[in-house]
Amino acid sequence: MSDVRGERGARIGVGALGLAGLALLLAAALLAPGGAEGTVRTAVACLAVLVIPGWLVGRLADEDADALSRQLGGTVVTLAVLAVCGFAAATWSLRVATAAVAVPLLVLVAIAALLGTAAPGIRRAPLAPLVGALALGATALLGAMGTHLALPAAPVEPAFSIEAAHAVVSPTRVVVTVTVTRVRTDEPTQLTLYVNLPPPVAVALVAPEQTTVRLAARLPAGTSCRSALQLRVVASNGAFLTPPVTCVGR
Amino acid sequence: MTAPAVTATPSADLAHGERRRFAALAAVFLASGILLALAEWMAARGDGTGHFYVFWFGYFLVTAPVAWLLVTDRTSAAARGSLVVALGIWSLAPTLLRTGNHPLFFDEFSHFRMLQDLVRTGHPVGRVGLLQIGANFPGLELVTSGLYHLSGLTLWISALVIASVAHVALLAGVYVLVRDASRSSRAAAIAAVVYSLNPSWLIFDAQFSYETLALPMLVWSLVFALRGARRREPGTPTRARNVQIGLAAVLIAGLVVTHSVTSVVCAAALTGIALIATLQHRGVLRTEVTTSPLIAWCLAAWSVGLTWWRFTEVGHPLVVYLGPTFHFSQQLRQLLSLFGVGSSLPLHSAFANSSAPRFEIVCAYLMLPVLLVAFVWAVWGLLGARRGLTPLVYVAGALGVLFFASLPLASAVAYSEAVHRSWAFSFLGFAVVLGLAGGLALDGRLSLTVRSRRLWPPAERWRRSLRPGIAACAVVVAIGSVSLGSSTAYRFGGTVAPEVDPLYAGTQTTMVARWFAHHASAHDVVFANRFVIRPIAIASHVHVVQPGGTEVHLLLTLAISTDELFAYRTDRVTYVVYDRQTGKIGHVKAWYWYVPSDSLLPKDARGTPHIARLSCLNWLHAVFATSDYEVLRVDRPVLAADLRRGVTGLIAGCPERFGG
Repeated sequence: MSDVRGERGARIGVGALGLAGLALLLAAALLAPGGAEGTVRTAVACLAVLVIPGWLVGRLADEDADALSRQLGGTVVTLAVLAVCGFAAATWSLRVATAAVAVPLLVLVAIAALLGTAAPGIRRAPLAPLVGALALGATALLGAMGTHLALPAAPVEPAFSIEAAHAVVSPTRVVVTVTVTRVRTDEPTQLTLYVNLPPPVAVALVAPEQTTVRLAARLPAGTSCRSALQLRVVASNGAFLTPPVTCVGR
Repeated sequence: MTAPAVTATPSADLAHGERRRFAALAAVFLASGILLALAEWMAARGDGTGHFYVFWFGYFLVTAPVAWLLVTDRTSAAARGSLVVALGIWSLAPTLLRTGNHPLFFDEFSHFRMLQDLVRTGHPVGRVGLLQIGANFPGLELVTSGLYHLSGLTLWISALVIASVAHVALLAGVYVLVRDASRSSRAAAIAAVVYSLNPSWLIFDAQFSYETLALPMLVWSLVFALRGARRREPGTPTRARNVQIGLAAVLIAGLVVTHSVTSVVCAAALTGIALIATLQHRGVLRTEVTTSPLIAWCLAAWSVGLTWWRFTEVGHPLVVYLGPTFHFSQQLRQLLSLFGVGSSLPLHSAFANSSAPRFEIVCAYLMLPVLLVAFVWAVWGLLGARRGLTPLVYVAGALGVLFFASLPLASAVAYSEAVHRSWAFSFLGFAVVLGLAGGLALDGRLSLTVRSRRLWPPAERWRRSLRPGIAACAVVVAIGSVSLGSSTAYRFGGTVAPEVDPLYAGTQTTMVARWFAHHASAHDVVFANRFVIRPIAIASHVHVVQPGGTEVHLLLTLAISTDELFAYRTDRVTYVVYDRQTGKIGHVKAWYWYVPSDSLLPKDARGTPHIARLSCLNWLHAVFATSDYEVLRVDRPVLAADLRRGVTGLIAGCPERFGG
């Protein structure tokens, strides 16, 4: 009598888990992202994608009542199903988005739950080893990531950037406005402007907090916007800009 | 009332003991995680070699007690499985500490860009410049996009979750595979420990890359295939068997759309299993018949057929990608050169310019003889007990042999990466063979004899010194494999270094990537070296120049011709990004720009960059620069006009006046 009751109870349990899986999948597909609803959606979707289908599928192939192999083997199968269905959807020119994931998972959960309720003799797998493994592993990751947050390990590289979208050239003058950003450096300390070849036509000293530098000079004799004109801004370390020229005036 | 109290006391003590052991383990796992993070922090600060010692202390703080608990006979089967999974989760820490909130490793950028394109367009992208072949095996991206769409997690967190689940499932799969083959959780635990010594396991097979998903698919397809093909008593219900065969078939199909080489290994392994099962069935091997040849052949045919179909579908890109690896005449040349016949291929040293401490390098070389001795011992021992061996063991033996066969090619520049990647499969062979032999040895059921002289089990006086010896060998293999498997730049952060993967990523690459995110569109095509292009490609929607063009000649040739510049027009290049540090530290390599070998460049284009001309072309405008990087915009109408006129657009006298 007790065996029969146990088997019946297991079938009811599998059926309930299958229904829960279907409900969670629908909830994940329908809940909005962001805010509290988004947090619920994330938790629900992780259960619906990575846990419940895997458990239901793994249970069918597990003869040792081992929760670990049930869950992890089943989850890998679930991922394979997603890969195959996504690939098939893409091959048939369907958009690989929520529906292409949710529909195969719904079918998978339904089939696994139906087979599970019909399958006799599948033993209950104690969850304690799985929970213990997760707890130990999570402890290590918690220690690592907690320390990592307290002692950030990303080295910050002192660097600057200069930018000039274009140079403005009038019949007599040339003006280049350079935007400067810095990260833990005082560079560039100087910007030099050339028109075509050396010598330079303007030099600007750049203060450490200065973010915009305007370089202006008279056009050298014999040069004009009509001729091939190349402007060059060179920083103290050799970084250079050769912005395109915009001609103004006649 | 007293009787139950008396009988309850031992179980209460036991439970108390279990709780204390669990608490001690939790403390050890926590401390190890803290030490690993501390090592990463010390490395980033540029602390000499202290971080190596902290790392190894943190590493062995977990692996030593876990390995001991896994092997000792006092541990229950359930606890062993639990420890294997905990070890798998713990092993995520080094990679997670290193990558953090964004992709960092070389392959991660490629897969992440493919994932971004998939999510944006709804279809796997046919061709991308970062990883040609990856676009044809989009399983990882499809799965990750599935989690992203349903969960609302960020793309990168979705990627980390999938990679982490797959990484843990891999070790658990090895455990289950050997437990099924041996019916011993102790042998399975040894196998899991051996697999965790695989050089790729700690970093490479934990990153967001297709191998990370493909390997557990391979292992679990073997698990379900072998369960499905297992011979059973007549009258046993067939439902479980049918489900297992079905699951194996699904996994094989998933594998075929996820990774090319792993699909081939799966097909070869299943064919090998079917062949051995047939030989067993016909009595050729004089062993117990454990596997149904019919089912094994069906699954092998399914795997071979699907792999063949996919390879035929992909076609040319696969030949281009895998062709050099399977250039057998070159492999033969390298092998013959070891015996003094002919010249060897270009070689590189495994630890050239490495900052790894001496003990790591010594262990890396020492692990090879240690593995050879262990493998020979295990195979020899298993041959003596071959009556009960499953076909898996023969296939695993063949995989293990491939490790040693691959070693002569490991030092050849052309093959070293492929050889490294193959060790994930070879170690599967080691794990099975050493796990089974180790399990038998611990149970006292393994014997080795030479001319009726017993070598194993060893004499009583040797046994006491044997255990520390085996532990020392395990330590050597652990240190050696980690240092051989990933460069120190992969394992630890440090000061930014150009053209060193992944240390090139820093403030400046972020600046350049952000600039592209703000200024470039999906119509832009960028030509840059294989390093800086990665942060750019994931920060913006720009396209990457397909490898193989002559764009790089502009940087490297002594004199540029108009013919070489046509590539900029035909590839529709709109931006050029250049690292001014190129050539200032070490030699310039053609592969910085996806050219496989320097010999493929013109003779005047080897070794020295000629960058002054970049600032002297009338069709190229530097619009953004960082301390070391230049972002140049191509004026396409001017370039087209220059090419029509047959000129390069170089301003006369400019390169000479601005730095030659």
